[in-house]
Amino acid sequence: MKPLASLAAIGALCALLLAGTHRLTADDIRANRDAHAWRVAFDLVGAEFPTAGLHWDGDRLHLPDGVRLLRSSINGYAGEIEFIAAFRPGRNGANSLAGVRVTGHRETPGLGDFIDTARSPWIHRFSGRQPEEVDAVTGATITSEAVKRGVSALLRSMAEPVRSGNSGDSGGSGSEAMPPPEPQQPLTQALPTASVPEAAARAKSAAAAPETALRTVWAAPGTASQAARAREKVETEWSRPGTNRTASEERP
Amino acid sequence: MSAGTFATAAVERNPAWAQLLGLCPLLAVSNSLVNALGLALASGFVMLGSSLTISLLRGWIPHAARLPCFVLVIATFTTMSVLLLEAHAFDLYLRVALFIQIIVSNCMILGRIEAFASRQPPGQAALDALGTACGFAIALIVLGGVRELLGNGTLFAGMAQLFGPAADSWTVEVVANGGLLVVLLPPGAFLVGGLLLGLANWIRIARA
Repeated sequence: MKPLASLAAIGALCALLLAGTHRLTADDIRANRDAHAWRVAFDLVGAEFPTAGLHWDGDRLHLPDGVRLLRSSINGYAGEIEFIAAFRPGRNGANSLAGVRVTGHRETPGLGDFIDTARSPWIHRFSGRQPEEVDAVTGATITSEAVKRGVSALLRSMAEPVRSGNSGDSGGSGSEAMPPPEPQQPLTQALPTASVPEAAARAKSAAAAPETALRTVWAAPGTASQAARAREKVETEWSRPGTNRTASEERP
Repeated sequence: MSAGTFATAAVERNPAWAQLLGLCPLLAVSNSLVNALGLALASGFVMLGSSLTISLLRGWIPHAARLPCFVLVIATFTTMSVLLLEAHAFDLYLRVALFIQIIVSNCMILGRIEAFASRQPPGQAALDALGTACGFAIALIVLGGVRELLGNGTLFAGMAQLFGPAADSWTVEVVANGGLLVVLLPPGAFLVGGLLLGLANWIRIARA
């Protein structure tokens, strides 16, 4: 009995230590993970954008300009390769691949780690292409093919209509309620539909509180017209030269 | 006595080159100096923390259940080091997290705790832990440095992951455009590790 009691006491002590460390580090760790995901997202989109009010819905992130980021993973040569792919809505509802970035992998250093942008620009070849068009790398075909397979699978899943409850990746609610990005209608066409003073007022309000403007889009996913109007706000704000996109949010 | 404890643990009974303990993380992570340093710091933290804790608790640990207690304490400190690393050196964490997590099964730590810390007062245990950690760090840094130099042609590359952006300029490019790839790959770890072990043995024999 005595050994058990001592073990339990030491276990409790260890639990206390761990809980304390967790409390001290949890905020920093969350910030680090978020910042990492955003760095990858910025890199994919090619620009920094205000991140306030945007949040990952399970494995998906819908950006205000219609770009969708999808997180996925696939088995590589040595374990899971985690990656994020960006899709841009194209003509006829087809999604075109805007880019892919690997966020985590355990491929052989020096051979299979070319999928990491820190080592090689190879992954940039996916931008604007079909995954099948990307050449594999000599000596690391398993790694190359794994990334291609993973991206292809994502593209196929994007082509299918989202059915409720089929995704299995939605950590939160409302992934189905997300408005589709209306691919047929280019964003700029939405502008003339609003009267000039109204648009100006919106632009002003968007400039005054860009965070709120963005948040309204994603906090209340409603009808497609609402979404279009909200996107237009964002578009107005973004397209104005001299607008500091990062000023609204100081997150690194 | 105290300085002797430290020096014995660090040099004479160097965990890697004299006792051949902890070789798995040693060989796996030592492909660059910054990775080696990260693992050395984390191992040292776990070594010191768990040695001190075990030494303080040595009167309460029942003999029959001592190994579970040791492993519990080591695992606690390992998890703490992972959390601290993820919070304060995230880039490094992304690269060495897997190997930090297997510190828990590093026989170097369990061995020193079983053989020393669980029988000695905290002061001695801390000195022995520091010495062992330094010895392991020396082995890691030498192996990491040699492999980075031969394999990548650089030294101190990526130190910013550990010391912040100011360390970006520390990189010394010795050989332009890389070196022998095989040295960075696992076989290189065995080759360079074996040669260094031979060197350590040679020095020991020459001194005796």
